[in-house]
Amino acid sequence: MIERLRTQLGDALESAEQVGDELRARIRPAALVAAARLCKENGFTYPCDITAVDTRTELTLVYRLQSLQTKQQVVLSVGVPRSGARVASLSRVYGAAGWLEREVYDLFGIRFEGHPDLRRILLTDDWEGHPLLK
Amino acid sequence: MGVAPGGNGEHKRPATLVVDVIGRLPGGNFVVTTVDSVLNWSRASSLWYLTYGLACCAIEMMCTAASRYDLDRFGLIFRGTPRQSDLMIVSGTVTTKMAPVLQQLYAQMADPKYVIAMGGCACAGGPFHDSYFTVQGVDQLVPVDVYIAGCPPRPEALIDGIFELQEKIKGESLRSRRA
Repeated sequence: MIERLRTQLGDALESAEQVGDELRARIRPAALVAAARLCKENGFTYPCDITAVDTRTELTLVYRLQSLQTKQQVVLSVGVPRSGARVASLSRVYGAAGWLEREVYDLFGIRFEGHPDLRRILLTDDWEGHPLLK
Repeated sequence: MGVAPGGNGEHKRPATLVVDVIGRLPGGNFVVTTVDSVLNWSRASSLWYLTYGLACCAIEMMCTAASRYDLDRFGLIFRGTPRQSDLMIVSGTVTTKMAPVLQQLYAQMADPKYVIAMGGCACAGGPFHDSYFTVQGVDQLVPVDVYIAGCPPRPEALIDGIFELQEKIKGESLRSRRA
């Protein structure tokens, strides 16, 4: 799987390692949709979780994709700037990703381009700010 | 004795007016208090409560309702709609987004209606004290009759709170009904 990612993404794959049943790969934001599509074609059809981490230097988006056949997981991480971050939405690749992206938008303020309905999901619409930013 | 029925311009329900008149007749107080005790007994013994679980306290509430603690034996039965409920057990954390829903459900309940705030969150925000999105006590939204401390309270504590509420109901009178 690492080799497939490397040939498909080339330089956009910043790092990759296999830890147990988990493939951890850090990729450039521009390659996100291509990487997700490749994962889905290779059996990782279930988007377990999408979340983000505020490291104070950047926001790291974390996508956890699972194969329901082999129980293996791919963890894609993408670094985006802390303010005004925009990244492509995976809602066209994984239908369920739209809900998780709404949560990340709500709590971290990352905008997902191409999302069909990017509204707050946990907080009220008139809430100001994004509470999980440090 | 009190003012003439409706004479002070204050709005009174027809039932309250009838109670006022009966209370003035010779021996009328005896009738009122007897009716009181019958009504209060029936109300306190058939508190149907709204299925309104919000967080981990709801697990304890379900446990209390299930066979081991068996709330049915006190006449308490889960209802799936506020229109059939007398009691709302707010069991869990009320978020700011949930607040208008809670208020609407309370408004849909028929009088007389009662509220139990179960657990720290419903009483005063609990572990989410000073949080950015938690209502700091459900009494900021609706009037609360009984507060039960705990995180979450054990079923025994919930049953004790229900007994407190039943005592409170038994002390009510048709004359002083808040409804």
